[in-house]
Amino acid sequence: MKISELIINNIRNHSHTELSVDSGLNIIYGLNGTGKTSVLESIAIAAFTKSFLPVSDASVINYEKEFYSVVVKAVSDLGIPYWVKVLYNKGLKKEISTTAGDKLLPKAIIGDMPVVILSPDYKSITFGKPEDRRQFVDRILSQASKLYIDDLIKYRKVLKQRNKLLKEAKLSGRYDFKDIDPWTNLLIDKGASVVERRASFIKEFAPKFRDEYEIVAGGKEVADINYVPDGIEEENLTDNISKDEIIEIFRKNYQELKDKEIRRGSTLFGPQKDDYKISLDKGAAKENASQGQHKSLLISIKFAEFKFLKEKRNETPIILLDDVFAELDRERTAKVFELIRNNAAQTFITVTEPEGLKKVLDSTDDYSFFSADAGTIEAVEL
Amino acid sequence: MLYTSESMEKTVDMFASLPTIGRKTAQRLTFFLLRQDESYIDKFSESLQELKSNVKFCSNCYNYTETDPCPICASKKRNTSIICVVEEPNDVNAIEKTGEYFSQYHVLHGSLNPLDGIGPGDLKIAELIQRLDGVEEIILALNPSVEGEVTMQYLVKMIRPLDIKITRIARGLPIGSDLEFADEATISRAIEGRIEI
Ligand SMILES: [Zn+2]
Repeated sequence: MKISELIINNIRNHSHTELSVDSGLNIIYGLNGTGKTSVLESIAIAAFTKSFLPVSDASVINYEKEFYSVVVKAVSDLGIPYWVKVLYNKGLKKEISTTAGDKLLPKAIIGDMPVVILSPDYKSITFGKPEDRRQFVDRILSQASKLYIDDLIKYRKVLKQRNKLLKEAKLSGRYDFKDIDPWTNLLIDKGASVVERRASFIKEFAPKFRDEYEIVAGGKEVADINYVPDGIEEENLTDNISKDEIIEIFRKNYQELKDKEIRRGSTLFGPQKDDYKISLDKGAAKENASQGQHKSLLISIKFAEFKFLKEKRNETPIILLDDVFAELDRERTAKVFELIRNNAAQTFITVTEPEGLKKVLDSTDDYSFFSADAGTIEAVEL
Repeated sequence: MLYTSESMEKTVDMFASLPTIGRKTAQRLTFFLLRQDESYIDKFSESLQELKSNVKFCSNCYNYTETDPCPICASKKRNTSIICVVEEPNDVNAIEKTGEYFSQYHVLHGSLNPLDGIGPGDLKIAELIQRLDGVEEIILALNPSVEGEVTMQYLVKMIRPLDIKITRIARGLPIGSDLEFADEATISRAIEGRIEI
């Protein structure tokens, strides 16, 4: 997929920005607060209906304005035109339309324009909390499969409802299985679907991750990623574990935890407690990897994501690199560019100063520079 | 926002309290009413008054009606041994529009939803169980949301011991879509292709 036009209204310090894009590599430079990252945020909103930063929709709206909107026009690998518009009025539901129709739900458009984002915020994937890794995998799977989004949304809803019932039961001291059982059954059913999809995802994803790490780190050590689902022993997590097998395990876990759940007043098992273990030469990367290795792991995991999505969607994802080169040495920067070139992916890069990147570019590269200043973006010749 | 009139502010507040109506729309509607003549306003408030005093629940199916029992329950042409259970009165309208369903309904007025404080006692479930004498089939036509799904499970557990055939409408409906928004052909097919559970 390649973006040809981007229209931003009222996102952060952009009041109205129109950008024509005709290059593969697009480098937006400017100091902090000039509005360069908001361009990437806008593309993320067009792809996921929300920013990739952990912020509320309202806080993305330009100061004192009542709405934001983003329009992206793009062309698929096969040359089919695609456009998407996301409009958010403060306090109202987002209005989402695409080439496919109007009044769409977020889950109907996520994945239509696949996007892979690398930002310093994602460092937590390799050494942060389980939650950070779950979010990482959920984002990929949501772009790869609409059924996964549907299962995940439903699972989260059931979990919230069931927790409410358990909490009430704890407070009132009255526990009615007749009321809670249907929620437990649905929790187990949807939870098993989520776990089954995560397990089969890691089976496909791990080899890609190992390959990318070998390219990025030059084969000095071997990286791996494993799924660590809550309440499922390693020996039971076979390669082709089925939904029915997972349901059976969950039923057993539920029976064992039932009394404790009543005492605590909340759900104590299920995929909301899953983790993924990232390792280097069989040791946990979280504790053992050096800073440089963490950077290589993050680059590899993101390019594995790129390859996975490209295969699943049959569409080349757009790459967003938010201020990543300041932290990468020359060798890793060169690797990243090699990966971008080899995959002919359209890429948007933000940097504070353009000179360093210019040195990495080839005369054969198809690139454009844009300068960002006070919410205005301008194409410049450098 | 500050209004020059307390009455306007009150009207805007009332409109804004309606579902799907935001503050801006509420203002627009208020200004619209102000521009209309007296007779329009009379008719408007009259219809609101009548709405509450004339419309009540049918004591059999709990749909809204002005006569009790409602025209559907009172009809001699309808098969009384099949009951289609729905969440909202709107769902009855959606199924009636297909013109291909000739049995009875039961309106639950919602689905189980702990977060909204809605439990079995807040729905017309006991009322459903009470009218099952002589009923041969219950068609569950609830929304495909998790709340609809759980309500369905709950009902199945209650009805199962009574030895009545229980079916659910087919999943021909697009993922996540409510009965209310599906077209007539889709609803017809969903009822026709119902499966026993
Ligand atoms: Zn009736």
